[in-house]
Amino acid sequence: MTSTIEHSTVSAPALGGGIYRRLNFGTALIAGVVFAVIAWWIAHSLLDSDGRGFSDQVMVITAVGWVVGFELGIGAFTSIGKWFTGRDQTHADEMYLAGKDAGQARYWRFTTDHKVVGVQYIVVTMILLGAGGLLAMGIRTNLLSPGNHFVNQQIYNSFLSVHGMLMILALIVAVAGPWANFVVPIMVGARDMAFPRLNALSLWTLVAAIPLLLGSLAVGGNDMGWVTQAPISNQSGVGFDLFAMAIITFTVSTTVAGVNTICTVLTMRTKGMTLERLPIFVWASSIAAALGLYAFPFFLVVMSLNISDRMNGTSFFIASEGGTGWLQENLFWLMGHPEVYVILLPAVGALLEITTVFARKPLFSYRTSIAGMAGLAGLSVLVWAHHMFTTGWAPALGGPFMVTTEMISIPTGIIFLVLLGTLWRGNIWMRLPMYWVFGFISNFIVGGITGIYLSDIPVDNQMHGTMFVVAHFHYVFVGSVLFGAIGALCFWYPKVTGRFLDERMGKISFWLVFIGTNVTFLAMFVSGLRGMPRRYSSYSSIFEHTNAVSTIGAYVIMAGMLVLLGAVISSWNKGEPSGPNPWGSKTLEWLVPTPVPLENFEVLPVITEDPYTYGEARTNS
Amino acid sequence: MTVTHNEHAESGHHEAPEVVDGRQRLGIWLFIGGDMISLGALLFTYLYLRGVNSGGHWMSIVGMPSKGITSAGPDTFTPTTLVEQPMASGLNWLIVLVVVVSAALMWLGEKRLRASVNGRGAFRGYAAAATVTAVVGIVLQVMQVRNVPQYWIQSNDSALFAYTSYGSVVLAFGISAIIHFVLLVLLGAGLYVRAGRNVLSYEKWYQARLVRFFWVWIAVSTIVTAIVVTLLNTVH
Repeated sequence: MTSTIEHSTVSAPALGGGIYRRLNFGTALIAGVVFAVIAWWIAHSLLDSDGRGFSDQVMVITAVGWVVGFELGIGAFTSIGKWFTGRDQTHADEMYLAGKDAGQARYWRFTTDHKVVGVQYIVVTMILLGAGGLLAMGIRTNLLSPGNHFVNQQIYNSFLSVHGMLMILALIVAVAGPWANFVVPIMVGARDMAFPRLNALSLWTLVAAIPLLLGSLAVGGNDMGWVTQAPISNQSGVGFDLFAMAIITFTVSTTVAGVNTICTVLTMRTKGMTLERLPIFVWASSIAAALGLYAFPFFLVVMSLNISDRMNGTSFFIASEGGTGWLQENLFWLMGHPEVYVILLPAVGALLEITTVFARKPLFSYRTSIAGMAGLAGLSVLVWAHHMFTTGWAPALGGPFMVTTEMISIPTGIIFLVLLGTLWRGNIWMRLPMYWVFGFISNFIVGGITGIYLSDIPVDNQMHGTMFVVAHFHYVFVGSVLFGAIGALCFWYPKVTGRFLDERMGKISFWLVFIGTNVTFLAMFVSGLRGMPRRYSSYSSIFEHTNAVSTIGAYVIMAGMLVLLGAVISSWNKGEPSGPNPWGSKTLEWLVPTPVPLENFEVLPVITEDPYTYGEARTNS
Repeated sequence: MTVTHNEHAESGHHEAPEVVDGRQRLGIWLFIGGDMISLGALLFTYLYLRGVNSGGHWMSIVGMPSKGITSAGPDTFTPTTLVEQPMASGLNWLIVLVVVVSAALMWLGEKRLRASVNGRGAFRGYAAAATVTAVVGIVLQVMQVRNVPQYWIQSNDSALFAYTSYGSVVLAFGISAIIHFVLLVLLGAGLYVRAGRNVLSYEKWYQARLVRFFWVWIAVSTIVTAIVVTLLNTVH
């Protein structure tokens, strides 16, 4: 290879330096499979096949083998190994890891450049959304008419569980993954994330989790729903073990990513980038990351205990042996509700960023919006029991939890007012990203207000476990977070590719997704109000029409998402060139060249003004 | 946002060690914060199960001691209510002592490393001692985990091994501790090797402090766990 480099004018990666420079996604898959098979064989050989939870133990050990092998195969442990042997990375190693002169190959390997990791996250998010969306189509097709058996009940339940978890994972990373990686370091004036290797580790750990989650479908699935309700989860097959191991793996990924984001923002800001000059998206990402650090350890613990009950004979959640299902619910929702805001805040931050740029106005009440986000995060850790109003757990606490849940509408309303205040009398430039902002405003009103209904105990007693709840949280996740994620994609796409996302296809996509979302979930509200329970694969004929409408709406959403996918792919190389700052934005990521150089800035900038000093003439694209 | 270029700004590859150290310090504290939440979740589990004492089964179980099973198998046993005693606290506190000593050794080693240019050899000695002590902690912790009583219980038509809910949480604490102690051993061994290769030295001691932070946190978490498990174990 050395001679090739010497005689070639084309930049090519220098492959010297040992085996770790030959590791990539392919070697990761091979190593993952090999280690999984070895782990499976060892487990089969050493464990007592008549013992309690033998199958679960084998499955968990196999999953661990897969993750370890995959990480070894991608090169995630190379730096750690070098640290232990006292042979730290050289500058050449660092440049290799950063993907210097590596061309497209850097997207297929353990690359530390935050922009590459951001693009990798875009692809991973699309895969997660695509897989979760296909399962949603399966679910909705099954519910097209009463007694329709597109899939059997066991598969239907597994579809529900895996769809739920895939979408939750997708939305957790949908904004924070691509954009907290790609733009946040540039926005704060840094050359990279605080811990570039941990950054790549978080991405590839997430990638390692996906086959576990999808693989759970192949080994019987998890028919307990995404909340993995105990003690009934003990009755699920080994698919549950893979499902839980996927979550445990994911919690490692997201914890690492959260630490990295916070450290980057707190310690790597360039001179003059005070906390009061941080773009609002940076605030949103940081608060979400901090909230994630609080929430996800609960996820790790509850899944570990769930697996332990299945394979070790422990009794955390088994009432007949001294445990209680309420413990599982508490631990799960201690994570589960803050997680909603881990998902929501980055999307809101991105939409606020878009709004101020396209309304050509300073962000309305910058400090208040930060206080609103902090208030959301703070209150979100005090509301978890509203998910348990109907379970009989601690009825005396119902009132306080109802109040805290209703109080959370205050910071939410504040953020909403900031958004509207920024739009108010703005010189609004209706380009593609703004469509998603207006879609968000419309949908989030519905999702938010129905949440206030459900926080009320008497209403919740009627609505809990119905399709009304499903419609509510889909308005929040699809109608709000997904809209925020797509808006962010449309907004920052020119910075990633140097080209505009096809405006015409993007608008077609918007209208399809917007109409589809409202058709699907408004009809679902009606199903819920009529009393249709959630998680049922078959239903009474009185719910037929609303379900048919919901299914048609879901197909329309899927069509819109496919159009968006087409736009993303076709615009990547053939879109209209955008230049470095097509929107005339004033935040730092738009002031660097496109494509962004390896270390972002030739010399680090010094910031002397706030980020949103708009009001001057608009820059045309 | 007005931007001026700072010609004197330093490249990312030439950051002062103090700058990198500050960043890594924040990172390690955040990881420790996450670990604190995990420990908090386990403590919540322990106190919750003890508090609700479902069916009076916090420390009792309907079954048969696992050691009572003969080659005839579990089919022959008649389930009775078995009451467990809290595990002996001596081993628990011995583990605490070992981990505290281990953390102290690492702290002393770091002090010696920072104190003089000749401190590297002493640091290696302390790091080795701290690492060996952590290995002892692992051995003791494994012993404790193996001592958590297991029972045969009837479940539908079969008999299965099970732990009481008290035993379950003690087991979880134990396994969590083993995982953390293994991390300590790896970090201690890493520091020992790095000091030997002069990567850690009088001028470059920052990583020793980062590891010490984690080491001390593990010692603190072991103390907290021991206090809870030994003082708050019975229902009444």
